[in-house]
Amino acid sequence: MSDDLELAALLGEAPRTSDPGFRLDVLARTAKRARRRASRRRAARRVAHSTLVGAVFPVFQAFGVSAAQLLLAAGVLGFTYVLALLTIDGPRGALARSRAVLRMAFWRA
Amino acid sequence: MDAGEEARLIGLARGGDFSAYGRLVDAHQAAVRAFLRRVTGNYADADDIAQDAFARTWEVLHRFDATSSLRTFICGIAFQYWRRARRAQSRREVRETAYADLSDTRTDEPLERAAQRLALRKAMDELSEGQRAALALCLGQDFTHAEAAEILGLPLGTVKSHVTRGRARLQAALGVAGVER
Repeated sequence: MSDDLELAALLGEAPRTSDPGFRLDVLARTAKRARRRASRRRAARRVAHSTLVGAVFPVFQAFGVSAAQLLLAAGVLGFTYVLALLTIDGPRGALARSRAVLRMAFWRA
Repeated sequence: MDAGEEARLIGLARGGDFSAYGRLVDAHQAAVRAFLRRVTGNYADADDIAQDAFARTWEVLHRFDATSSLRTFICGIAFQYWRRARRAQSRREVRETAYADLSDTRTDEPLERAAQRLALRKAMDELSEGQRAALALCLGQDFTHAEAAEILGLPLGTVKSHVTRGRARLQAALGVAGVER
């Protein structure tokens, strides 16, 4: 059995004490990988959103809906949204809420 | 570290606690680094792979089901990383690195021991991946045969035979080194 230990020592010795530098390197690498993963996810989401927005017009046009009709529908929806907020919260609440929604969408993207 | 404390730290680490994970790294780094040092023959490469393995473990810690020990789980990941790194390099490059490592980093050791290490390294390089890994795990008594079988994904009998045959090859290589001296 001691032969085995001798062979193992010749092949490579185990660190005698736990190395804080190694731990720090591991944690730094872990954090870096997590950041990289998060940025990849963000990029993929941004690409998906852009593709979706870009695809809306040609897809609807393929179904016979014109760009003017689409813009009109979007405008009506936006106007109704703002009107509903104004009715419920008043002008200040509507602005604050819209700003918060936009900010959140921006950060998510 | 006892099993209860380890389970508690794993729970904390799964919740994103970096300092708990740091303590787990401290507890298991010796076994993982020793395994990789023996299997690669190069301390810098071994530590590099070990760090990648620990970083990957953090990402897949939710998959650890506690049917085996955490260090077995980490060593399984380390083994996959080593295989991947090995495939990325040509066999020649690996051997050159091993020679360079022996000559560069261990100049303080007696010539006789350096010759033995070189002979063992050459013998290790000639073994199959499974044999090398089984020897690296079991020779230092860091892992049992059953644990090595789990890490390598091999049947227990195969691991035992890898260790027996591999040990004989290494001892033969040491004998040759002795004759050359």
